[in-house]
Amino acid sequence: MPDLAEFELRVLLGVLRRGDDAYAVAVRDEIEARTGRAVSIGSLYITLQRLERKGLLRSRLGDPSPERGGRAKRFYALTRPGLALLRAECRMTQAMWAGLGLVRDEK
Amino acid sequence: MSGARRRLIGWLCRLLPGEIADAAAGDLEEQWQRAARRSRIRAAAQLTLEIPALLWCALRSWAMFSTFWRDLRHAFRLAGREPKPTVVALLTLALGLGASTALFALTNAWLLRPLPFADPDRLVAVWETVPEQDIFQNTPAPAVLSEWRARTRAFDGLGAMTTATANLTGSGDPERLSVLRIDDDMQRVLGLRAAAGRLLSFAPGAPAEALVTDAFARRRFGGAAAAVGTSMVLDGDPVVIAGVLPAGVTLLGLDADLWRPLRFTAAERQSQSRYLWVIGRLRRGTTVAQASADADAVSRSREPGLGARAVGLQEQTVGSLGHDLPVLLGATGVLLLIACANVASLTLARTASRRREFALRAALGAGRPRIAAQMIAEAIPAALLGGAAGLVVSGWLVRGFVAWLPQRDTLAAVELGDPRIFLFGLAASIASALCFGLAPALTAASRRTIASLREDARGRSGPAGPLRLIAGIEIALSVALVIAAVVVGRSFVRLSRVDLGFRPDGVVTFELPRRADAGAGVFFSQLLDRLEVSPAVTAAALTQALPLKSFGFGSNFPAEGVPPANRLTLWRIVNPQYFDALGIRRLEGRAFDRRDTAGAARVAIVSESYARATWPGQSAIGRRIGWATLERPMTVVGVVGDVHLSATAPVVPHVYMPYTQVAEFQPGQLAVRARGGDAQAIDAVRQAVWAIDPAQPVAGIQPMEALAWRTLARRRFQLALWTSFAIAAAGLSLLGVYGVVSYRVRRSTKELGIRLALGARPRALVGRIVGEAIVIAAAGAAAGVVLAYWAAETIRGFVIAVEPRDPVVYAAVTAAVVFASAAAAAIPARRATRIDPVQSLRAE
Repeated sequence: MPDLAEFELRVLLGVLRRGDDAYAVAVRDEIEARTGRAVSIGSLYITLQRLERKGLLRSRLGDPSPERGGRAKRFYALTRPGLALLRAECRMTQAMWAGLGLVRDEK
Repeated sequence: MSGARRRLIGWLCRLLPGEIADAAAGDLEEQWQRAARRSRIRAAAQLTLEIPALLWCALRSWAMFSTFWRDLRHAFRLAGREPKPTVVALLTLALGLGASTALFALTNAWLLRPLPFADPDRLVAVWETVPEQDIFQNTPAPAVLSEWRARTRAFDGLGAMTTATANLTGSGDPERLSVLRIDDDMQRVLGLRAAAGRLLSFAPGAPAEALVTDAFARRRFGGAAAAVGTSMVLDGDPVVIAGVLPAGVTLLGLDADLWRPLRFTAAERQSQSRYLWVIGRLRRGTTVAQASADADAVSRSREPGLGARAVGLQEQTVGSLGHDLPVLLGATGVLLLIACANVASLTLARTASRRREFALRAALGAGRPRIAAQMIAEAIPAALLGGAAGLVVSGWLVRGFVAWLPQRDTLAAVELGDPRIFLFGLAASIASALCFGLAPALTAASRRTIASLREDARGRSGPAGPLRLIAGIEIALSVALVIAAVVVGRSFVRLSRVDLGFRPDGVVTFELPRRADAGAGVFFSQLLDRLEVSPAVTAAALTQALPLKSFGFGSNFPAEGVPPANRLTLWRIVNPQYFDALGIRRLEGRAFDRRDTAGAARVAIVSESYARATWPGQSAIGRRIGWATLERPMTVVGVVGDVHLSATAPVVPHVYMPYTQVAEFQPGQLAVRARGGDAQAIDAVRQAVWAIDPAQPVAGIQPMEALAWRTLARRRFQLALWTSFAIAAAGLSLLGVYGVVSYRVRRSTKELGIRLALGARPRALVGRIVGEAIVIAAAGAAAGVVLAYWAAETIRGFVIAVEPRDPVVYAAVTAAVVFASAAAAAIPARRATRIDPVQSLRAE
């Protein structure tokens, strides 16, 4: 199972969170809103492409809309290996954090 | 405004890979619209900040996905399917790159690497000169050095050294060591630092010490640290190793295993014997020329007819090779150029035969850059493999050069693993990939491709023009190189046939180092007696310094009744058979014989040049000469022929004295003229030596002919280089001619078929095609002759006894190259006669 870079992980999670609406601008918004860090579309595309090439994401073209100058959106979704990888990653990370109580879950 | 934004977004996203380009453009537009609702400036700033990331994304995805990698894979597959052109290109490049990286390695070792001393630019070698005798690198006498030290202003210091040998005995095998004796000033002048231990102490009463070289410390003690403080037995006396020299330190290319102190007594300081090598450190701001003039003025005022000269130490160490290397480097560049041109024409011809494919691609919308990229990709397999093969070849070449070259110490410093050499090779191979990938690419992608496709039907022959031009240039360059090689070769042949004044063939040389004691004279006379009756030896020569083996020592030999002349004269102490053993001509008087014992009247034999210069037109026999002074005169009993110290050295006058009458010096070198084979003679000498003294080392066993050959080592090296350049260049350019003609035949298959169908005689067709090749070759050769004529001044610097602008050579080389080109053209031309007219009309 390949190791994921920090940003790759965030992008995968962003795609997962956005569900059916996971196109670049939406994923960017999701990451920015949750991490408070600015993300550029260009760097997002570098990572999206890499993840797609690794087989963790798949993509499809949506319908064009006038707000986008008549251009279509490309929607991303996790593949089965992508999801499995996230699960494993989550398990590992939680196991490492478990019981340390550094940050309270903010709900 | 919005138009400009859309165009920018459109342009940026077009750089991205096709599948995301449209979506990314939409994303950017959407982002803009959202941000612009709040502030257009913010939106503009955001878009601007996107540009670098987008470009980076484009660059990455281009590198990852671009057609270039597809092209490259395609190119490798193509090379695998049709390996012949790639193999030819690879071999061509391996040769060209191999030679250039090897030469770069050598240049790097000699010219670019500074000497391992402090502030090496200020170090100079200072020589005495005798302009009248064309001697410009004479070692000065201590008396001259004292004068330079007292009266010159240009130097911060002048250090002196001389060479010696020593027998190492005690632990391990006895060994004969080369010793450099340096004086106190030399250590200071060089700014020397010991790699381990300390420098030599010159304090009065200091124990016997030595500095050993790194190589010696490793060989004998396994490392520098282990050597320091160890005691050795040199010539029977204990000597302590004070320190170890940094690796690679040599002075003026003189052989040395260790350095020992050189101390002068007051009398020695005024000695007129010229046995010192002098290295000076220039005062800051002083040039080599100023220092030269300064020392020269002092020498002149001291003794008319003498002078002095300073040479930068780097230049001196690099020596005349420093002069050769830029020329050789130029020749390498030419070879590389030919190699590239050759590959270019190969590729060009191949491209031409694929023009239909390119025309089709162009018609289907492949742009010029797209096709150019493909061509570059197709050049890469050969360039990469050729570059790798070139590195291997350059490794062999450097090792070969090292074995061929004279000064082995300097050569050991050539590093093959130097990363710069690898980078040079890589850069050269990439440059040549571009060089030969681009030219055909531009032709292939030219706008006229489609037009020329149509012209094809009318039998026009497309890029034959550039091909001919390339072949012509190759011929020109190789004619120039071949002419240079022939000139160097003729010079070498002349030099190897120079009459040295003695016959080195069939003579074997030995070194018999022995301590100077009372027993030595007895040992040598017993040895000579034994060798005289040995059936394996015709005659034996004994001296302190054999010609070719050692330079010997120079001094002044004034003659009675003749005004003193400052003429450098070499002296040798010899046995009676010396002249017969070496084959030196006896011109007048007698040789030494058994009468010339230590107690008998002192006698000498002089060389022809000494006699002629001292007593012009008169007999030398019976005249009296002195050694440095006329206090203890010697009577001249004979005159012998002159001896050359090497094939390239001028004649130096000689004075010979019987070794029995010179108590201060020991003979230590023996040469025997073998009666049977060398092996029997060597055996006989060993038997004779060990029968007298079983502990006596017998060293330096070498045929004298090998020594004579060694003096030509640099010339041989040049010849080997130039010959390989010339062979490589000529071979490559003939391959070029072959390529052009075979392309020509392939292109005009239809035309030739029609001609044959109409009744043209095949032989006439061959003649026509070969004739075209001859025109190319002749034009190229003419240009080459002009090039050679222009370059002759550069070559003149290192050829001796030959005129570089020899019309006979020019004509012969031109004729040979044109003839060879015709022969190379004839092979594909003959194919034309086998064309089946019906088939040819169907072709294309």
